[in-house]
Amino acid sequence: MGFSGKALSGAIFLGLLFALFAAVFLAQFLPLDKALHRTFWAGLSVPISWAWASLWLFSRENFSRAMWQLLALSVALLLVGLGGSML
Amino acid sequence: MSDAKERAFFQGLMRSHKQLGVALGIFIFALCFTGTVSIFHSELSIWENAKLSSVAAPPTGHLEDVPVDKIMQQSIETFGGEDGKDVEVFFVSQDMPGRRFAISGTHTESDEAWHTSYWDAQTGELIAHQDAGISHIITEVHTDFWLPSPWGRYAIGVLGVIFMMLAVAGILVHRQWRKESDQLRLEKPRHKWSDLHKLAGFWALPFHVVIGFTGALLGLLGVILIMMALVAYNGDQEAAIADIFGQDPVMSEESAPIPSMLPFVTKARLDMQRGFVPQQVMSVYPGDKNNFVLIYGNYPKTLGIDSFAKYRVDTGETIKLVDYIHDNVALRVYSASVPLHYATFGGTAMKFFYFALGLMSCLLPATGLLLWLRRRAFDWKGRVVYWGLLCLPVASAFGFAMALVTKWLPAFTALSFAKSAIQYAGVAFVLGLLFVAWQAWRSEKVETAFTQAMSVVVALLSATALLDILLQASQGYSQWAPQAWGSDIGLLLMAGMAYFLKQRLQEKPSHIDESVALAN
Repeated sequence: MGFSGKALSGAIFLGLLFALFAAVFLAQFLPLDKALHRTFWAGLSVPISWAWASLWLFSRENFSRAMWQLLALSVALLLVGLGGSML
Repeated sequence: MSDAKERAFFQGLMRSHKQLGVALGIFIFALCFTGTVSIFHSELSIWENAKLSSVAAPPTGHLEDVPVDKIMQQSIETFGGEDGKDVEVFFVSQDMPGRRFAISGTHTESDEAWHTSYWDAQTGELIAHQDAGISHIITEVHTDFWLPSPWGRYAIGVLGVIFMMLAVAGILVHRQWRKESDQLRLEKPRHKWSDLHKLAGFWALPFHVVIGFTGALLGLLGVILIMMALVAYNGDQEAAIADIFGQDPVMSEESAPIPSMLPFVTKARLDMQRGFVPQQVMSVYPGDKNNFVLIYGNYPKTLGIDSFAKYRVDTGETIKLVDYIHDNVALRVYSASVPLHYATFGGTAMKFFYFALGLMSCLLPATGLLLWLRRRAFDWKGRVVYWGLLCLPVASAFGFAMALVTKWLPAFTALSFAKSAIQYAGVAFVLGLLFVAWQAWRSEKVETAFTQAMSVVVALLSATALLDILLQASQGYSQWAPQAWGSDIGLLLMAGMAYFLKQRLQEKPSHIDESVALAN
């Protein structure tokens, strides 16, 4: 059994999406006083959370379910992050 | 985790490792190979130039001792156009390589290009304008994949993350790593590539992760920071830029005299933290009323990019002091990613250490793809992968040979179709790419094609290095720059490695292997 090309690129793309949206959340809610510091820490998290999310997706038995779960979590993080910046 | 779940997890990882590796292996190999050669980019750019490779001047001391103003004046006269105003940004640095030269960069507005020149760091006399060829091409492939900016940089960042993922997944799936970490059966055709793959992955894992992570940061830094800054500063882009880099004056189009840069160097020493050593002066809009200067420098024995102090020239007002070492930890981590990726710390010994580890990084995708190629017919997919794997080493060898010709035969470049070294190196490089394509198309077996390609690499690199040593020696040893003879030794080393790989791939027939296995 193997991944199709679409699934491969989907997992990498979704991993990136998750990493960026999680970083948006961190840029807003990290408990640091200066915006500059929050910016840099959130940026640093991107490669690590991207690699983690893609590896996690690849290792799931039920790949499509895991994709939906990760997508839902990403959107939730983005909405909370953006919501926080509007308050 | 139950046994079934654990098995499924590791099977999933193995699957992803294999399929991602085959799908993107040639791109990752291209990155690793060009990155490994690019460690010696500044040395190779000296090697390529006959004038620079024949200057073995003693190192200089402080930046204040370098005739910065004289060099700047000459650069503006050379590149500034009729009214001297075409120069947008000018910098002079004594940082690299080996502090034997002062290097200047002049950015001109009309052609939006950087012009690099080398100067005598003591007298301020011009030694040569840079005309880098093959070293520039190889570095460009590594940093931008020859794609338009910034898309190439982003693609490299994505591959950095994938490389990191593959290395970690590779270690996780090999759960018998204790047994496999010291196993190298080079004499067994069926095992040698697999053993080399595992060894290179296991022993250099921290290096692969660091290079992948820092590469991803450097490649994607622009886009990541813009996004994060927009969120952290609630959409106020200008506030974000001002907080990070300071508020730069804009060009006024009103002329003003160019003052001496040296008082700003002294001021930066006082304004920055104790121990700050200025390395570079950059002047933006020289000759304009809103001219401002940046004094870049480092803190010795710390890992980070150059911090800087930014001043307005007319009022002397400080625009921004950016200290990557002492400001905050996150900034310091970003700053450390540059020297960690490019080996610009620890001197020449560290560069050779990185070179050795870089070769192990090259072995990972190369042996992985060779394993894949061995298990299938040499069909069109196999030929494409073969081309992807061999094209850059062979093209680089062609490029080095051409660089030798343009270096020692200036009459050749003056008479022929092109005027600059990079155009000649580019043609040789493309010829190398076509040679491998032709070879992949006509060969019947991957092993035969591989050994032929390696023979070409061995012949070209060793002939290039030996001829260069002879020609350089004929001019006398005393004026032979260490970067130049070091590069020759590097080329010979690479030829030796290509010879080793060629010998390893000339496999014994399988019946001999089986009879040896039976005898044991």
